[in-house]
Amino acid sequence: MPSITLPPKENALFKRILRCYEHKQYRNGLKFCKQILSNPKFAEHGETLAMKGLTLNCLGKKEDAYELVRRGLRNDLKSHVCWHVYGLLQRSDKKYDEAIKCYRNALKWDKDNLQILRDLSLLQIQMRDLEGYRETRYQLLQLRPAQRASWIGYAVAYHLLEDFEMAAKIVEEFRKTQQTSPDKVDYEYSELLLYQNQVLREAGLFKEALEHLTTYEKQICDKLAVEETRGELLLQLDRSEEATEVYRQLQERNPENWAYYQGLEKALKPACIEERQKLYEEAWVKYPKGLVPRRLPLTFLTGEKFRECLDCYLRMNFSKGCPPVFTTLKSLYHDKEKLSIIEELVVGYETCLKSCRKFNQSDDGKEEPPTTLLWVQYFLAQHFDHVGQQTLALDYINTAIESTPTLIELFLIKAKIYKHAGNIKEAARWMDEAQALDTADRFINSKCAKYMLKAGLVKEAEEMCSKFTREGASAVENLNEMQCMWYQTECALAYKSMNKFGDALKKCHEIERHFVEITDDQFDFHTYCMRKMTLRSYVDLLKLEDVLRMHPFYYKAARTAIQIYLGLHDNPLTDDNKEHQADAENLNDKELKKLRNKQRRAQKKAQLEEEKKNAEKEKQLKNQKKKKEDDDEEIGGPKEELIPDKLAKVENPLEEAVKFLTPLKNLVKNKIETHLLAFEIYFRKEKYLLMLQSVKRAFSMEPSHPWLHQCLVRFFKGVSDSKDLPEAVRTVLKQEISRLFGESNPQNFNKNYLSQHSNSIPHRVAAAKMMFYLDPSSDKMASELATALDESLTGRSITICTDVLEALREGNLGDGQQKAAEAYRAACNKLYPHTLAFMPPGYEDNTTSTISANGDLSAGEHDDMANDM
Amino acid sequence: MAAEGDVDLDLEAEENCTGKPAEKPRKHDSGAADLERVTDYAEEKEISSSDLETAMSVIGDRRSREQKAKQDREKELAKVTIKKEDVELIMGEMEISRGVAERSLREHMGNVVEALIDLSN
Repeated sequence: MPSITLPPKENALFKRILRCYEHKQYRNGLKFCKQILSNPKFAEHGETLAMKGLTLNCLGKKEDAYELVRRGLRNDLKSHVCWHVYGLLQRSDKKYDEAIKCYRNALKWDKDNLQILRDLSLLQIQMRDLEGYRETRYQLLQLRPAQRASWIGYAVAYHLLEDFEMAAKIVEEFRKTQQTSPDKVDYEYSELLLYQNQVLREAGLFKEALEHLTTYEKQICDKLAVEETRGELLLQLDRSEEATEVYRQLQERNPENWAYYQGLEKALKPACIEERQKLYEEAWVKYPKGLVPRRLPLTFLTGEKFRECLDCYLRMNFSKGCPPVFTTLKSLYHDKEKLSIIEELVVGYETCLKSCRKFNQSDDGKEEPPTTLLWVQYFLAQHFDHVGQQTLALDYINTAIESTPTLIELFLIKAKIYKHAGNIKEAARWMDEAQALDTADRFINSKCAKYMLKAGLVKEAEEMCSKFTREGASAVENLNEMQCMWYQTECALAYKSMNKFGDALKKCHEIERHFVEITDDQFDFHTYCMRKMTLRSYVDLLKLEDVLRMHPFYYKAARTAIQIYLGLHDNPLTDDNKEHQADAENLNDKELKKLRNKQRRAQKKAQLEEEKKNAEKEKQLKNQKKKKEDDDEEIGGPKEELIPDKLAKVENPLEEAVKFLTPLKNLVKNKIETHLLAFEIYFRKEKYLLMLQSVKRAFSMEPSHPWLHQCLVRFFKGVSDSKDLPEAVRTVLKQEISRLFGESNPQNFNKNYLSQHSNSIPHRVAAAKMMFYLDPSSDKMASELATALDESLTGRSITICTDVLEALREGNLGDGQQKAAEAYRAACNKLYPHTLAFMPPGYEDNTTSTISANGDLSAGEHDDMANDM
Repeated sequence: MAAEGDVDLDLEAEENCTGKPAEKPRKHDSGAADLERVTDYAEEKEISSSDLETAMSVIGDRRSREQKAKQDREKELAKVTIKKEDVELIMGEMEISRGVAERSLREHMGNVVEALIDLSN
């Protein structure tokens, strides 16, 4: 109850305020507010003050708004309007928790206000307060049992709380009230039925679900869903014969769907491999052009049978010219036997095709077209790239390019081979070449930009992308607006490797904001989906949003940000020049001079570009400003601007890192890296129990993981060195460490680890680093351990070798290892001749000057290169 | 009094985008322009009320049973005595909120070591 009741004239004005607000005529609204408030009798009228505040909020005056709304509320604490307005203000500010509290207060004064209840339920589902949501929906149902949204909302509440039976019951009660004629197509009713069926299945009521499906089959519009569900249910109920029939029909509908073959297998339960194969042989006859029935048996066949089946599959693909055939076989490569059969077979094809244009000399019949040989070579290039023989892979791809210099796919693979060989500069060059062959192809354009970013060519990548972004807007801004996250991820990594931590962090935060936005976008669907009855999709959406940050885009951004924050904690930036100094430290005079020159040139170029951009920007700014204002109105004020310098000089980097980590700890538990990153943060924060948590979780996944080993050694040392831990903490640590690891003397632990894994390079490196960490005088032995590259050792790769080289240079295996580093580099160079990181000193400068002397590769140069070939 | 009924209006106003002069659609913004015109207004369809009463009764009694079971568990937990410094130790060491820390301590009958071990799993 409002404490002051306005007289009729003022009351009419107040109504007009509400109407103005509704029609977004904020200025007029303010005028009417003034008319009421200027009367000294009503100068402190709570509801008017609150409405004035809400109106001002829409005009972007957030501070005034808060002040006025709070004042209004203080003047009229018993008004549900004031509380409601305060809730709306908080909601527009995304403070959902606070808004919920306000609505609750509003309901105290008007407990059956439908609008407030509805609004409360929206916030509750958004915040996943499922119990609260159920309560609110119950109230709404009681107040308005005749509205269908009341029923659906209540059912969804139970569904989300995983009380499927109850949810099914409510939907059924509701369904009974719906009057539909069986002949009319009613899409919404069909959706309701499918939703009900889904709930029944999730409840484990398969028999009921099948009956339900059969009863209402005619009224369900999505016929495919009906059949697929029927197949699934029949399998669950062990009614194999009927299931077989269903899956055979589905197969006829679409012979290229893997799931139908799997369903058929489950229904027929073949007892041996022969029977299983027979099942597919039938499909070969029925669908002679089908690729899936040829591909699937390759997973379970072995030996001679595998070879026969593979032979047929490959011939079909090669004759047809099917580029992704390698990709479809990649999953077989973990099997050494299959790998060698594939290799033998395809290499055989190549020899025969070259000599007699047939897959096999003894083949009779028609000759293969010349493209077949091309696709075989294309396949072999990918094959040898995959097994780590990049030189051989390059031979094949170069031969193919020689024969067909206009096929984009070939250049794409060539670039990829260089990337895997560790020469990203060369890779980017070839990707650019591919891109030049068809500048209207966005896929290849994006690939090229990605490779450029990996090669550190940020400006060039931006220019590349700008060919496809909106005209008149800066490419980077447009890509951010479009939530183009692959670009931002790669950009962050590129900046990180250039030690431009602020810029890298900006990209990471931009990605993080996209995820916040995606979560917020969900809000509109709570009302929309209920109304449109698309409940299956709605529940799917809610479940997706719950695990949204599981997405690799988030993971990569979070990992990058965490690594940077860890680095910033270890080596904080103090002044502007630090970044460059870090670069310069490792260079001698001559290199330094070169670097300075390069920087000067870059600066000049950047300046010119800046001027050009500024002019352009001003033009855009005018356009954007207006639009932005509108946007801001909607989302409640502009977000804090991300400024690279500020981000890099963050006061508490570890707290920032924890923010990125938290979602991962819950959602990406199954990745060991999550827990290892967590350890690195907590180790620096000296939170021993959280370190324990991290190593425990990691240990249960892969106890001998090299990085985990380094965590454990540092953890044990930390525990034994620490003095003033609380008694309870010490007890927990002691108990858990002895239970899990037994040994907790770091030296002995490291020794045992080494003796257990002395054959594996990554494990040796981990042990060596810890040996030096525990005892700096053991540097000689440590570096010997880490730098061994014998053929007999396992786990040799470009990554681990680069890691060792870096450790030697940075002194993580002892100081003054420059000589050892150089020797190691030379040894690696022999093993991996294409890898940039192992090239002799000065090599990179020479190549970069040829690639980017003119800033980027101009079209003219491309033509030359193409002609050379 | 009149204000009470009017509150409903301010909510719809939040979502209604009418009353605003439509901007001239730019070249690639036609989709966005359409979006602008979308309002959240929808008329509620009413169910004929003949079957409602039976439907409502099915749902009623199930609810009360549920609530009781939940309350019992809460009551049991509330009985456990816990020390303030234990709660604060857990909060600090595990970086969790007071609510979560208290609950975990109560679930382990106030034994701080057990609570911490459980939290570190």
